[in-house]
Amino acid sequence: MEYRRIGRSGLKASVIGLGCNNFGLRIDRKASLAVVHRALDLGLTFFDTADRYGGGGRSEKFLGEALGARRRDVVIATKFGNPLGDTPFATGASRRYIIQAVEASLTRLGTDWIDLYQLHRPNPQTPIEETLEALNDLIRAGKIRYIESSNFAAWQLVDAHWTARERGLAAFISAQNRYSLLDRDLEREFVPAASQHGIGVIPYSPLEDGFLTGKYKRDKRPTKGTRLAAWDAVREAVLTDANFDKLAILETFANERNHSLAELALGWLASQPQVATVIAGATKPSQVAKNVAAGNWRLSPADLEELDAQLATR
Amino acid sequence: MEYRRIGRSGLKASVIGLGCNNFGRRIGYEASAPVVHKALDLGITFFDTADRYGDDGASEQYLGKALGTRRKDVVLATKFGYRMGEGPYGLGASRRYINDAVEASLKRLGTDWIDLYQLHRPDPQTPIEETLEALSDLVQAGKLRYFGSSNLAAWQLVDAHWTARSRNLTAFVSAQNRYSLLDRDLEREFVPAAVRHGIGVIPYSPLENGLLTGKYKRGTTPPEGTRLGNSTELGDGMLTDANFDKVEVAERFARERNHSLVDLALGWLASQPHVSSVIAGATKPAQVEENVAAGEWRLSQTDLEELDAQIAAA
Repeated sequence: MEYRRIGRSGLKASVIGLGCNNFGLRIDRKASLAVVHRALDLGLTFFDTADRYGGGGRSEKFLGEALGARRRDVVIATKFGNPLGDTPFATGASRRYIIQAVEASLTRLGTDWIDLYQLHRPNPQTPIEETLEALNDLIRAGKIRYIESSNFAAWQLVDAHWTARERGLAAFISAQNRYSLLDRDLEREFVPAASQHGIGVIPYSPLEDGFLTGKYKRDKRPTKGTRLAAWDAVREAVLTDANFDKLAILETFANERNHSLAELALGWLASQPQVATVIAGATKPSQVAKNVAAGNWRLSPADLEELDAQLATR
Repeated sequence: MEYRRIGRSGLKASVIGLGCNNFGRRIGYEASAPVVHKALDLGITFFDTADRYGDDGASEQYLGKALGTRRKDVVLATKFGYRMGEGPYGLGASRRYINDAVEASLKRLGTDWIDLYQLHRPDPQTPIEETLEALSDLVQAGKLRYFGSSNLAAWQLVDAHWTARSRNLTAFVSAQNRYSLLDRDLEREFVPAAVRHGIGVIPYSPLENGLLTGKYKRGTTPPEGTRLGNSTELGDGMLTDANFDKVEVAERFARERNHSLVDLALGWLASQPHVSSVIAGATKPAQVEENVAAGEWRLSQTDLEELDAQIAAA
């Protein structure tokens, strides 16, 4: 397993991380524990969750319980800022809310500190100065170690960076955004911006809800129990002819190199220098093993160019 | 004519500007001068050119000559950065180059100062600090009054703003980018970023090379001598079914309100609070009149929403 620095920070994490959003949602406590334990055994050190995952904070609870005494050997990353309820104080990025949210996450995770605390989405109702100051205070207080943004626009990332810099506050060391072989919009503005300021990129949905595993076939209804079967809107957006065309190219490219489609999807991201760690979810221990194997593949510059060329001709 | 502040600066300009990129290319001096004179007579105070417009700086030369003693009554905006000469010192945004470029533009324009000096495109080979320092020095020296950006990405705009701020340099007051009813990409990231830092947006190509004048019709060959007709490459990219769908919706929307398509294309931009001045080109005095009349229209909030809904459904 490769361990990379997250951005320009001193924090290192495994290049393949475990996404824990299925815990308490698609899989129960027992299955979640098995997934975490396999991840630990395979050398994964980056565990990504959120207060909101699993409903009632179950993902954080299951993760904390599963880590147990091995908590000190890993990087726990969790998030705040998406609504947890309907009241005005159940969401946001205000100082008022953040302090409440961090305490709740610490309790659920059963730990004294969070390694990487992430603003789940930009909050237009709170000045970024206030958010950064509150997070900075939590770092001084020892409750969190580093901070990250999620779902920011490129300009917001740069704005937050300079705001922190101007005020001598801790800055976001990384940015978690949607990024995959199918959705490379991030490369247009976001990756150059992150690169300019040494901010690590942490892609989520690298397998595009399972589409990049190849389990969905053109002109076939998604199998019951798969994620895209449940989400009509997502299904319509993802299971398009254009995407199936791309998928065919990717699959051929991977197979010609004795790799699977999923290996290409994760290995391609791990081959990007600006990527710190790739968050891959799992509902079974065997999927964790697959993700780890995939993350070992580093495409050569020639392969990366060849793949771009093939995708461009489609 | 409405005169608006350019961003948060104290500089005011007419909400409809004259784009001078045709001077020395599609029209000679004899035809350029009447266009400038008509613009002056109609109260236009914003004249936008660039060192590279026309052959060998012809656009700047014609504009300077046509303005004559009325130069003091207008805002003269020009640009630098694209290749103007051979070798490594013939383009860019280095201090070395900028000092040459500004002298050459001043000479061609026949003036002692430029009101708005715009970086024509980002220069990845020069740190933005160097560019901003050189431009700030030229403001101090009295050769420039203000400077602006063009074709920057949203994150670069924010980065440049903070760089200037952190070093007490003059900052870009404006951002000239492609923006029209047909190409609203700017609204996604760029406009929020510009608004955040009080940078005025100056749209170019508001008529999309004439597509928003209605002179091109679906399924018919573009007229001889028109821009999209002369260039297959431009034409193929623009004369698409998707664009014609939008153009037809826009045309109907304008008609129902007793306006032309051109009125809508320019009036819609002038109705955006973040827009400082809309650059509209002209090859005949009559077009200047048309542009000025179009720029009088302010769409109501209801109309703006209705138009968005209709275009979204197209």
